[in-house]
Amino acid sequence: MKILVVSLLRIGDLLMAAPVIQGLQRKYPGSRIDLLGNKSCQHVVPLLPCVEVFHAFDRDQFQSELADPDQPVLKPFFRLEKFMMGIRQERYDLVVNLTHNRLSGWLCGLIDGKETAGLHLDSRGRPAFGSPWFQYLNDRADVRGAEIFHFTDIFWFGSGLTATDRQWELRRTDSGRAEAVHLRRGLDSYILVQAFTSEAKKEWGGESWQHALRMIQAKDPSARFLIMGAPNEAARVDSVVGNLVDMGVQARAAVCSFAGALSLLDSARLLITGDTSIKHLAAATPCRVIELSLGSSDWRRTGVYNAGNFIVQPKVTCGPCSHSTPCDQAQHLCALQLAPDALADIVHAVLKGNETELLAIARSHGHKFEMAKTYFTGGGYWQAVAVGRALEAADLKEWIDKLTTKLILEGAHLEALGPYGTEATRMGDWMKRQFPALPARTWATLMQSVDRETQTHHSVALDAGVRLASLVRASHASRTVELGEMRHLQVRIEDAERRLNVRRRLMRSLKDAVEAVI
Amino acid sequence: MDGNKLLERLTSQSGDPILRLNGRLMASSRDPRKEAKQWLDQLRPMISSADRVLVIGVGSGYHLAELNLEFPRARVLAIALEAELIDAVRGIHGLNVANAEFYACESEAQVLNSSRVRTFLKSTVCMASHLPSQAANPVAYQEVLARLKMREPLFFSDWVSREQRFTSLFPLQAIHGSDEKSLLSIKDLHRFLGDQSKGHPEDIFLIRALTELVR
Repeated sequence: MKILVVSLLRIGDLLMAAPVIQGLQRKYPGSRIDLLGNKSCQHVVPLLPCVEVFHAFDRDQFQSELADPDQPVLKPFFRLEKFMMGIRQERYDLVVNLTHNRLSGWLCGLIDGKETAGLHLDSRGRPAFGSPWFQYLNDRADVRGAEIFHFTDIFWFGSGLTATDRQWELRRTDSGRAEAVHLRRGLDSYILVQAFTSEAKKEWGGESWQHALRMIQAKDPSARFLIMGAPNEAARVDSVVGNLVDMGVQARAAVCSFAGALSLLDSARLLITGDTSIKHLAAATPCRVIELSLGSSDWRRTGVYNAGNFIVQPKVTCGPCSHSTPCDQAQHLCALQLAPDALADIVHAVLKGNETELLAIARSHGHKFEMAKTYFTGGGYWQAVAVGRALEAADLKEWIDKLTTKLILEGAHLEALGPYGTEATRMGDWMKRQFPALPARTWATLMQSVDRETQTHHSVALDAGVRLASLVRASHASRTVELGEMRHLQVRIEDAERRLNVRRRLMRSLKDAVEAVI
Repeated sequence: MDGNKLLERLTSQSGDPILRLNGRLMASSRDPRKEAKQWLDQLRPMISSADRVLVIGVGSGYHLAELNLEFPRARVLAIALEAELIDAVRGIHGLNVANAEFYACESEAQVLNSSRVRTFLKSTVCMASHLPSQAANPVAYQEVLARLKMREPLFFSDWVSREQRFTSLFPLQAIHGSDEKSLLSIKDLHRFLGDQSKGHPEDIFLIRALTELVR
């Protein structure tokens, strides 16, 4: 079997696809997996164990030829034709598009795999998704809701993978190991810091980092810091390291390749990072991560994809902001909201493994930022749960909403006997592990509250039904038909009924499961 | 030889023979080989990423010889408006320009008549101008270049009318209706497709994908 995975965004996006690529390899043993990605990502490809052939899409060259009036107007056309026909001739059995933009949609339409999961367009531009999960990704592209799934989970389920475990790894290279040995010379224990991000909006600022590291050093005199950066960030790294050393912080520069960074992460005590591709590398290592989620960083979709890590997100009304526009605030509010001493406290508590201290920090700074811990739920998807906050009905509702969505996307509503019992048991076990001390009575109250909320879906369906009936009456009278609105209402009714049906059945099973374990 | 054209053979300071057309030197009078190396230096990245090289202007042939030396497997087509110049270049370099084909077009308007030229343009071609050659007849060579680039609606429609593959993809009336003064971009080609494109579906995918790259 020949499989092509398409990932035409940036390095971080490609690394987020790594679990899916390996999941496909396990699902289809003996298959050949190729990758279509941007040429700018090619230095990361050797870290992906299952990829056999990398088709490098030279976006820069296409764009420069398209923009250059001295080039024949059809030159990029013929270049793209040659490139795509080479891929098409491979006759892939399965194409998995993990990109979800129109460019990838046109290209996947052209590749014409026997089966395609993910966005692909026909010659008239009509989209097809190959899986309800990719349709969900499309419909929820701009939604910033709590029930949103992580991109890797959407890709995972959308690619037809059903396993609930996430065993994946990245390949260590000899050159990466040698780089790491050289950079950590003499250091057995160190903290990695990736302060620079790809967008100004996501940056915390040099001064904040320096103050935070100085405070961490004061709390833990034995701490040693490696300040990471890509080769093109060497000057910035040197400047930060110079300032830190002047402040008495034991820091040194670690300018390295991705292969070097991966090997450095293997032996690090901790990575403190913004929203960067390094955090996605770290997810494939035992290194714990504290992620600062600032600016447009949307951790629900792109947070560090592993269990046991922490995400810190300042509470500001403007965040997370849009990717495409610069920060429109007079000051970088989200960066200011996170004080260096707070991060120093968090780092200290994480290094000591002191959950009680973390709880206290989260509670005392709860008005400034949210701290979430990452998990894989029993249902096989990633979830970050707020630290230090008492369990509320809203949390329970969010988890049940998410599980309801998963069941619907997997077609449980079409089956006489869906996997409600299995999913409910997994979730009940997981909830008990998260809140072991919560009394049975509180669980029962919370469940009742969510149960009542379930009825709102019925109300939504009912309201839409009433409106639809009035439209039908009006169309009889006026002899005009509001087809667009009628169709919209019909979709709302169907959606609400589907959710109501699945959620009722899930709640029934969940009540039994919770009673059994709590 | 055309009565209006005067082609002479001289010797450069480096001892290499060079050509002079109507009083214009077709290569450096000091060191034509060094000049050719400099010409190639500027084009090297573009040539490396191309399947074929279309050289506009044969000069005294040193740039073609240099191209042959560094890229012996490159498929090269050299275009000149003067057949005599091509003969003279062959006379100087003999087999040193073995991988270069030559095309002498009778006039700038006929440059796309050659199926060899059109074949080159249907690849990832590197278009390499040789400025000393073009200085002998700048207006005509400018038109040759413009026709090869197909950025002007008139020249693009000339191409489309010669290539069956594209005549159904880009209706000529759509091209003729465009602003003749502006240079065509991929967005214009996308516009020419219209709603009821009749070309090969693959070609429509390619144009639409490229349009996404300039959004």
